[in-house]
Amino acid sequence: MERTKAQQAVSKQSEDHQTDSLADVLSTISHCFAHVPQNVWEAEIQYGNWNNFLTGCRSALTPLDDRACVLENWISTPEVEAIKNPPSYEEKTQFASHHFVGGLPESAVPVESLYCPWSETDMRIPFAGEKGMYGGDSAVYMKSLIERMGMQVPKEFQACPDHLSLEADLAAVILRSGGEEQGHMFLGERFGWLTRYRLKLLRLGKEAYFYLAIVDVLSAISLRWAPDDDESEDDELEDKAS
Amino acid sequence: MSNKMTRRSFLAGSAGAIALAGVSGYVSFGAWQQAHAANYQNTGGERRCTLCDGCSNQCGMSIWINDERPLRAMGLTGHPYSRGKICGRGQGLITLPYSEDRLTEPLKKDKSGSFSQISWDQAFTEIAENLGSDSSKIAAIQGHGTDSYFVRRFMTAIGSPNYYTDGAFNNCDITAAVENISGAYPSPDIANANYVLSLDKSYYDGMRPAESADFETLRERGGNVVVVDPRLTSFSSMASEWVPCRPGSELALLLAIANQMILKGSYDRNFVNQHANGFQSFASEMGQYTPDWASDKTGIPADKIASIAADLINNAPRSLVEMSWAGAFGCGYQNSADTVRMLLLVNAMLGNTNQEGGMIYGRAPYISDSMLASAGISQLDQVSDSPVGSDAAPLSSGSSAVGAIRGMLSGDITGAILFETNPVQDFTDKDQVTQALNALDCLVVCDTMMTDTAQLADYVLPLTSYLERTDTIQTASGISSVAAVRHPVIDQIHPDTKTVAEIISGLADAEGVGDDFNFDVDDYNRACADLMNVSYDGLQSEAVSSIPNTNVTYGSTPTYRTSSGRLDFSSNAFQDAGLSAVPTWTEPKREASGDNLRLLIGSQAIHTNTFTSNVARLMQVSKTYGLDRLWINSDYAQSIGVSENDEVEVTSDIGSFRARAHVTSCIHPEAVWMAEHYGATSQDETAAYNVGVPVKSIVPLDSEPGTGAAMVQEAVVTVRKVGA
Repeated sequence: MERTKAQQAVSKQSEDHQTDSLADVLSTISHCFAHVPQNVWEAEIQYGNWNNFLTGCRSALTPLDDRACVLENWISTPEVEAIKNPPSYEEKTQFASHHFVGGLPESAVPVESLYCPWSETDMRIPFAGEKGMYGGDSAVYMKSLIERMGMQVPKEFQACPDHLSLEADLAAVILRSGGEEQGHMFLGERFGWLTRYRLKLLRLGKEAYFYLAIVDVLSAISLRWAPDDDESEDDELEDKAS
Repeated sequence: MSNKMTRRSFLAGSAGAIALAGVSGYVSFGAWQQAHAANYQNTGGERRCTLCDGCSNQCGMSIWINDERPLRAMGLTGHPYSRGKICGRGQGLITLPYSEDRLTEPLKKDKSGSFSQISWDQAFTEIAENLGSDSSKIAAIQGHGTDSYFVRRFMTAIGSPNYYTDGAFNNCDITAAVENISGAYPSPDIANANYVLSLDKSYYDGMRPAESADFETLRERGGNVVVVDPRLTSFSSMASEWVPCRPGSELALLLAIANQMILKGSYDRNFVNQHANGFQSFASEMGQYTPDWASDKTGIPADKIASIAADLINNAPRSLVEMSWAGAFGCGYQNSADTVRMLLLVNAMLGNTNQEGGMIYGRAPYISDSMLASAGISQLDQVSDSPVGSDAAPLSSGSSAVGAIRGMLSGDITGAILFETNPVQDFTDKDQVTQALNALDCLVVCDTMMTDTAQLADYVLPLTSYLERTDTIQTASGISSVAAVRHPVIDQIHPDTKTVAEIISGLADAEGVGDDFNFDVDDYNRACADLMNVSYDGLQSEAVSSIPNTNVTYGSTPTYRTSSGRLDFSSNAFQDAGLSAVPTWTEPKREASGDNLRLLIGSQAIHTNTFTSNVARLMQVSKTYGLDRLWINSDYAQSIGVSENDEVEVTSDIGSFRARAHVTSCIHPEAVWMAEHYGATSQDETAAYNVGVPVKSIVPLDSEPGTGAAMVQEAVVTVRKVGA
């Protein structure tokens, strides 16, 4: 039966709300992996706001008409516990200074290039297939995309335009600017590398569970809009690399 | 009710509408890849010029860049050391700036022993406090020599005499001998020579790309290259003949050659009369060093020694004894300084000084502090004290790093700043070095990676990599001389890294001597370029520029910067240092015989000590070809039941390690050999970690009398098969 205009309007409103909610979720995710001012983070993790974030995560993980999603369907129990109890500003800063900094024993830098072959675009580069290097195709792509959109890569991400925080942030910006389709496409393409990144976080033990939970939530959200074929982006990269 | 959230974005312009339309079709990564792949087909990248940093040659290099990534690198034709080519080491190193293992922020070690990020301001302030106020106890040690003018100036500014390099572990004896008996550095004119005698390339089994071409030219012209070496190295592929010799006996060969030249009267008397000091006492000393005598020392048949001498004489002046870089010469044995002296003197006696096919004394200008003062860079009062440990190294201006290590152990040095040097791996006796560094009140390490040495530091400061920065100007000398400057060819990848000069500037401010650094690297470079009559703007685009009026004319005489004004065949400087005024035979400090084998250590063409060890592509070559194995003579291996790739245990006076064996006839039966690039224990060097063993760890920390060179070849070991 054809829907009435009112029904269409309500449906559109609901979709817009979903998009805004997803954008908010992505913004919060982006703040988890990079420095934000203390007042920003503390506002973010205030009970009400953080609860809204968790609600937004659940909503982002479910089809539009299914309100029954629980986080436990997507992430492990310890991660659920951790994501419900976000770190304080001090704890977040401490974790970042030990693990989101390069060259340290337990570095787990959330930058896409480090987990993918350096280039599959310019095969003239003699070491194109190597992993574990900054400035890979994803970094070049992100810089190009950001600049084409009239923005600049912030100084703190100069080495890594493909930092997880910037990728999540860009997805949010695209969604908020009315680019729902583009935003969903970007989300679906961009986060396959998190399956490799999470292995680095796993090695850090309990103190990393919060970040592991965030990564797993984002991975799951991303899967909703991943390319519609049998292979994930991760598998594509593996095949090309071999 | 929750507070209303302001959705803060990292990206500028996010509050307003972004230009989504401008990226139509490009949001998709796949679409971007397709578009860029097509674009890459049509562009060769932008050519930019700089200097390689793979080793001390600092070859001029052009590099093609696309999207801030290197496509390929080639040598600059105008640089005398590269002449259009870059070696494998240089080709692999271009990945280093992008490495995941790079240090990106200043770090401080906390009480638990973990590192965490701090700000540069905090780093400079705390380091200045923790180094202490007694500047006589503060030391600086440099490995690569980057911006050394700034480091030296900083030490002078704070009143500390304790500036050291790692030369004690590579070229110290060469520097000491050259500076004290001639004051000028020669380089060989290989391409025009007819006969080259090369002694022990094992410690530097690589060469300047230009030299490689020159050796090819020599051979194609029918010339001869005779390699006298305990080991048949990869360089030896250039040779006409390999003459194995007992390790540490190269001096004996040179003494016998001089003996023959003097006995036969076959030396350049004209040169000796006009430019030699103390030749008579030198000639008297040489009388005893007959080929028979030398045969006993070297294991080379006497008639072979005589024939080598004859070939050198008969081909003079287009014959030469090649100046190597380290090993037997630079830091190897108790007799290494005299080996260098003899090399210089034999060459001079051949009459090849500034002759075609001989040894060329380049004329690169020396820029003094007073000259810089006239160009606006103030001259500082020199520190009158001598460096800690200088008593043991009077011929090296007291700057032997062995003295620094001993000073740390004795408590005479309590604070140290290390620049691009990894003493735990690259110096001898790892346990003593570790103990020395741990004894410091404050250790600061400046590097690009978390090396084994950086692991011990209180503060680790991240350096900008060589492709991202400007360094102080340098010169390269030969038949003509050039000025050369490293310039950035890619944007700085990690914004919080700093260059050596920038770190010095920050430390100087914190130490209250910032006024002495009211200039930057560009100011310094421009001043030097002006003094050399070279265009700095030209250097900035091409990296290399000829220095006017520095061409060497064949037949000219070099300027000997000695107290005698001549080439010192008899040296007061050596005598004042408690050594013989003329070169004499000295046995190596430790004797190898029977099952006590000499442990030879050397480098490989694709690595430079441990500086390149964490470059994944270069280390992959090592792994693929088993380059970390211990070379054992095949006859000796058979006698102890060792086969190829067997695990063996190697034991010295101070320690042992286990390694896989490479059984070969290409090494003297009294020696074993291993490369120095392996054995990293820092897990943060992901390519280097756990590959091979640190061979220098079982070599005693020692120093050659007079020069302070580390005598790295003076370890004698036993070898046994594991499980036998």
